[in-house]
Amino acid sequence: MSRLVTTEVARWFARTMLWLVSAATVALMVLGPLGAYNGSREASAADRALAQQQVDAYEPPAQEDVDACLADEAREREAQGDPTIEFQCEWTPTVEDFLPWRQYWDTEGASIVWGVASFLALAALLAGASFVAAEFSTGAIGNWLTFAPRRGRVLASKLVATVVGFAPTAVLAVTLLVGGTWGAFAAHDALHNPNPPQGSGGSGFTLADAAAAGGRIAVLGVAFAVLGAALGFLLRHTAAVLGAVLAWGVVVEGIGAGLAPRARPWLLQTNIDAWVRDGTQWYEDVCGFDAETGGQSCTSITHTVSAGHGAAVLGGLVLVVVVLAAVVFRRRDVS
Amino acid sequence: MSLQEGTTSAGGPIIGTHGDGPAISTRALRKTFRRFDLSQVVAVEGLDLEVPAGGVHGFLGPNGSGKTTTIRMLLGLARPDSGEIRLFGEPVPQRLPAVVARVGAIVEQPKFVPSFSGRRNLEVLASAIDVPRTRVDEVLDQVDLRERARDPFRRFSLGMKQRLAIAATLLKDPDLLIFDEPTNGLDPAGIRDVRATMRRLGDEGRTVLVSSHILAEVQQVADTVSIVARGRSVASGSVAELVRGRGQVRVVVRDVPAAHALLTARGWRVTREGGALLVAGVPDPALVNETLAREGLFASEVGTVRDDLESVFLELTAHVGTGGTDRVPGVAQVRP
Repeated sequence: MSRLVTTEVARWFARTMLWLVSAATVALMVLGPLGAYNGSREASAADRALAQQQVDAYEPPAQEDVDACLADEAREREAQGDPTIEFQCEWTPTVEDFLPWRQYWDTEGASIVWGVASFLALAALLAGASFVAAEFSTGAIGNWLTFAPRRGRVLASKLVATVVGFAPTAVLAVTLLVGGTWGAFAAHDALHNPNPPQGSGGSGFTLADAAAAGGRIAVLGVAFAVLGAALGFLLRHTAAVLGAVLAWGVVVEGIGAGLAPRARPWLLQTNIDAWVRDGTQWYEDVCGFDAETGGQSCTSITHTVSAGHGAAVLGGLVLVVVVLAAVVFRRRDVS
Repeated sequence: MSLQEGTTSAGGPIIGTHGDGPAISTRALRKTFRRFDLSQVVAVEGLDLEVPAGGVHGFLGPNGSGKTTTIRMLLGLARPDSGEIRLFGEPVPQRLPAVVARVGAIVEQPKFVPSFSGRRNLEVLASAIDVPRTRVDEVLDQVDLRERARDPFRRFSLGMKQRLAIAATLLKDPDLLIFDEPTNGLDPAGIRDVRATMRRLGDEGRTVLVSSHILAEVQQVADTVSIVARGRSVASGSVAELVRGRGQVRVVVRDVPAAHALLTARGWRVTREGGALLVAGVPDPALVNETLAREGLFASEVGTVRDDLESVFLELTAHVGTGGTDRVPGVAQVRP
């Protein structure tokens, strides 16, 4: 078995296609730090000059419009019973209002790190599928089975090789992403947002949080590489695997989620988010007849999906597909 | 390891390495496929096949007769619906792992990883069976491919691909080699090389099963043959035995009508060909001469018009109708 694994690992690293997928994956990760570097820089003199021009060009509204606005504000405060409601009727712009939006690590770093998880998963799936399916489409698997006829071992060795083969890519990609993004913010002294926007959570995203998220993304990548390899055994063509994934994305994750909102805790995207973000939320609109207004009213209910739930669903999916692939591969004729 | 001796079609010795039993045997082997419309296609129907150990065995049949499917079942790539397969006495696929190291095979076109070099492909296969890398060089030398071994497989010519495939089968130093249509697409020089390689392997005492529909080729290299049609075995035996007795005697005699009547009365099939008679079903041409001479009819010319394997093949497979039939009447199942 170890001989088979060694051979399969060598086969993985000898495939040009897999090197290209790995290179593309790593290159994609560089976009995070690049975006962070551009978004976190302080406004330049040119930016300030442009903003000043826009402030100077501002024409305040007529006084009767301001009065009407204040009257509306007062009515709304009374109706809602909330004296803090603010319509910004007398707002006058400052230079800061027209400066480019500046990103900070502790408020925007998380979205940059989390945002790549699905892309990494897709690349991993492609790599795993290509590794296995290429042998079916070229017919090399038949030749291989005349040397290694125990199909269970052949399947197991290819899955192990997939883990070993994709893990360095996943680790390198995530390290570049997390380290590079943090470094980009640090280079512009933008690790802490002095004025976190209200309601943004002002999350206080730390480097430790990012490292943990990166670790989970790497695990996700390796799991999806295995999923891709198993799908390669089932469908035998990389294009078929990609087609199936695309169809799943459109039909189940897109249309299905719209038609059956309650299925969201079981969707791939929800569970990827839950795993990577250490829990996520989804929203359900519950509508009913409102006796007071005589019409329909809707309430948005927030549901939480834990990281454990995400791990269980994703792990279960990988396990089911692997078992299915093993059964089919053992029974199906090989050309 | 015991040795078994026999006789090749060319009269040379067969030296087998597994004298006590056949290298391959199948009993009542059946394989069906389902089409997309769910209808069933019978690829192999109750095939009995016995390949003696040692020498070259031709596995003949028209396209679509079930040769490749049978070979794939022998190698465990396809599973039979029913029936029994044994390689060196071991049931397949159950005990295939126990005998696979003794079997090398090329099924249809050589299939390797296109982006790998020829050497890399062999090294990958060698590592799976724990064969030292020096063996890769040896087999590359054996097929005269060492100089081009670093080229990617996708850039190989068809002949080079075939030679690499043969090299792959030799990695295991196998007792049984299975070649499925090994000369398909090769140029004359390539065909000659592959044919010579098969003959050499057979002469080394290995068992070579070569499936083909090119009968002249098989007749040149094979010691024994099995002929299949529509998934069934219709004849098997040595090439010499299959052809023997299937020739005709051509006789030239002055009184043709009298000779015709006389020979027909003996129960032989007689046809006229110009001024001569063709007599079929005669075990020995001398009998024709003797029969005529006893009645005072003297032949000015007596000769044998011998069938080749191709005409035997065509005659045998022509009897098999849709859905297959049992053995053709009059064709003995000959075991060497």
